[in-house]
Amino acid sequence: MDIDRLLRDALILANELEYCTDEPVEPLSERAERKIRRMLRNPERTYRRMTRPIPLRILRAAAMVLLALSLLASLAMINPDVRAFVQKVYKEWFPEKVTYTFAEGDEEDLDAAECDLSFEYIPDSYTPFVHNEYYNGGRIGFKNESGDMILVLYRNAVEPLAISADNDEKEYSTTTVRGYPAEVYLAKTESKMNHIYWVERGIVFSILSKLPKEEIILVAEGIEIGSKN
Amino acid sequence: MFLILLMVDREEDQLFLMRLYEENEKHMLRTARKILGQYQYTDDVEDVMQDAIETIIEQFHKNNKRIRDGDTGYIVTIVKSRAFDKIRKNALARGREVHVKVDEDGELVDLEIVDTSIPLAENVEEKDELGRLAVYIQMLAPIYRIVLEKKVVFELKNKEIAKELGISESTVSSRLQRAREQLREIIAEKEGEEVGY
Repeated sequence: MDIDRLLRDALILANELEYCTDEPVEPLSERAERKIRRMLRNPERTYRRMTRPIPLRILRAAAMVLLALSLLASLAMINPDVRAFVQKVYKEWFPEKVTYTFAEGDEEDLDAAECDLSFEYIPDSYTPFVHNEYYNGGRIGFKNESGDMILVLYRNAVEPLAISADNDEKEYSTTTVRGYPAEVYLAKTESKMNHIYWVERGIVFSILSKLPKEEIILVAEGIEIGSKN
Repeated sequence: MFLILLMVDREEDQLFLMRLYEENEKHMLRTARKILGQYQYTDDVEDVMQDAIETIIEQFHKNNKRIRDGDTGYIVTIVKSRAFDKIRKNALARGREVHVKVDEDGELVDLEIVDTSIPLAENVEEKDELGRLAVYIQMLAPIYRIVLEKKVVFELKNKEIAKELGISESTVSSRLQRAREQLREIIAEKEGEEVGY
């Protein structure tokens, strides 16, 4: 048996060992069961329906690309400071949020799930309280005795990201972190947190905290990106 | 004559797929419920079952009806893959709205692929090569195992895997490489020898 075939069979067997047990299982609803049986009764039709081209979807995608390109060009022309940033990030403003869509990554980009972050600067009163790793990044949190937090989120700059930034409640400005363009949303009320975002080597970083902007930037500048391996 | 043969062919396909479903329905459901339940997404079990049926029909057509009786493990792998796709989509949709809406406890909602493995078999040494390799695969980090399944079991291209998982192609390449490295390390540790997977 060749190696790939053996590996394929072993991957399948591993799942079989995990899921094919005698444990009782709650059945599907009658409606769902009927739908599945309808699909199976006419597999040809199901397959045709699945593979049917959808002209409207294509047209809509084309329109979105055109819109994105035109907005991207306008943004880059308006402000030279954001030119470098928008080369890789397309941003849309809405009244209650800002969405970022990232261009395809480079070969040199890091995989956030493989990164190990350490911090040169965290204010003295803060201690670690959470560290989660996700399939595409993670979050690391610090808290002081009053319950104030510093949250560092990092994920691959691939999936679109929306930032809830009510424009009436946040003041927008730009800065740099280790030379990378960064965006700052300062809360106008004490109960809300300040946010800073930047993209570095294919990873979008976010820091959220009630700390002042200058101190958040110090935390950001002090992040060291290591590898788990 | 041709029309009759076509009808007979279709009827055979239909009967085969229906039987395949009936034989595997409980395993499919258990897989979907177990995975989705970990993320409190049990409402999506029916969607995942339908997605899996579509994939089975697609594989049946594309691979010249290669799905056979007794392919339970393969069918369960399809359900697992569709369940994780659904979780990722849900997390993405939810993440778009709440990613930075952090409450005072710092709670964020995002996808964390936890280890879904059952306790590993104790009598590993009594198993044959395939059985032992399956047990070692259960020890792989979930992010690597999922990429490996998509590559090796479903024979997807790196670009297709990147699209399904929402990661870049270079990340897919590095995770595949890391998956094989980690598997080699596990085997070397457990069996004390280098193997060429």
